Amino acid sequence: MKITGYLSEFSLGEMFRFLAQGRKTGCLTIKPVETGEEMTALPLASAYYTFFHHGNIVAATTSLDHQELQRLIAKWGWLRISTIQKLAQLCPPRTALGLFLKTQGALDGEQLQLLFKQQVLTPIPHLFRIKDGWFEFDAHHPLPYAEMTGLTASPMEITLAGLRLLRDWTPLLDKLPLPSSTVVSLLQGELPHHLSRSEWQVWEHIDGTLSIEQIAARLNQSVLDIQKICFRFMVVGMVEEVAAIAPVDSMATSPDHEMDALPITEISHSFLQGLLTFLKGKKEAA
Amino acid sequence: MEIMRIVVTGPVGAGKSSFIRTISEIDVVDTDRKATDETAAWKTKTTVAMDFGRLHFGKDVALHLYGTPGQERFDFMWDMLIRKAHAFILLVSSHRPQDFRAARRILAFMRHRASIPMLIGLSHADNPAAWPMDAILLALGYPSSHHRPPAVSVNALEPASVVNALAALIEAYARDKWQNSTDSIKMHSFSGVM
Repeated sequence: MKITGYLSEFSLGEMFRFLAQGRKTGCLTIKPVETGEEMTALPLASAYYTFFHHGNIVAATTSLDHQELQRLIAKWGWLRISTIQKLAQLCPPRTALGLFLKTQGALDGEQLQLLFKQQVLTPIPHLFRIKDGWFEFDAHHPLPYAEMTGLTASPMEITLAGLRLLRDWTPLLDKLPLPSSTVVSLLQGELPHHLSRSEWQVWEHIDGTLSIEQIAARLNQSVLDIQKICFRFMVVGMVEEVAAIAPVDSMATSPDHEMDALPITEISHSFLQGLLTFLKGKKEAA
Repeated sequence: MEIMRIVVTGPVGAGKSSFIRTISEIDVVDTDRKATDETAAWKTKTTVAMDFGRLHFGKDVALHLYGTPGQERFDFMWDMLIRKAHAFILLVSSHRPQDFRAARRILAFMRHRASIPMLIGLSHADNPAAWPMDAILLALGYPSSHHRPPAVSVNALEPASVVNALAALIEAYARDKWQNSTDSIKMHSFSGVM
């Protein structure tokens, strides 16, 4: 399966939710077409590759040469590249190189965590600053075991971190929940994420009845700030937006004014059988 | 007169008006007026009230089809339509991921107002940029294949395709209505239902 699009159409947060909820395995490629805020924490590259395994992020690179993890280890001064390559020849297939190096005693757990932080946890949230980019998710892309530490990160946590870092929300303004909408919790049980103070305040007001603008008024905050927080909750699957009914538009007219007075009647068995027979005949005639 | 009312909904440009026009036995009553918002940029006219189509298939039996307003605002018309409907079809363009968000919003609106059978119709599935059906259902908020509404590919301009989608919805309605009953309905076989 390959799916493509632009982040201006389907945002990175929505894409991460898609991959996490679908427990997808494969490679997400992002090629920026418009960069946004200064992205010093993100290496300059023409493409960013994020690898998923059963919905979790397992590696991130800016090339497909399978040598970035080696270079990173060498950069820290822990092992020479020649040593890593010798050891890598002994690495069993479908085994993360980082984990293998740990089992060989060449690296320890703390070093793996530092590598994963530099490879995934620090740079990926900054991908959210890309204003627009082309993306492709390839479910048939093989996992890059030579780039994997063996550690994983939740795309939802990364999304929360990325959206909290974001200063310029312009590309996401048309994706925010409407001020008149209510947001309804989708959670049963405990909160799956640690919330900031402002997020927690909003969360406490999400009762399925208050609109976003009403929550903003109660917290004495701007509607936009509440929209941003609710958007964060939406893309990590904590809530869903339920649109409100807009005020009556006097220009709209109905061709069937009597519809509102119609009763809701049960449809009979014979009606459905007759309709299906009719449709079958219509299909054969088409 | 026994009437079944079906609502045809979906984001702007998904093919709602075409769907009703393709199957209706009467000239579709529409109350189109010139669009005034961003919709106008790519569609000069969009449905702001609703489309209405009808299909008589016997004495005193008819199917009524109502198309929701195309613009993304939920007004009294939406509320009235969904409260009176027996079932609904959500049409989504397979090649426009930017519409999936609006489709999710519509689904949530519907789900919170009525518990009626539904079908997802995916239009433009032959477009090179179209997402696969499974991916679209996931993007619409259905991660599990066990708890998904039925879905079909639809060409809103082809009568056979529209008939197929309607039949799939009617079958879903029948299953929903009689799932706990021994009085099951004999189904005709229509292909293409997921």
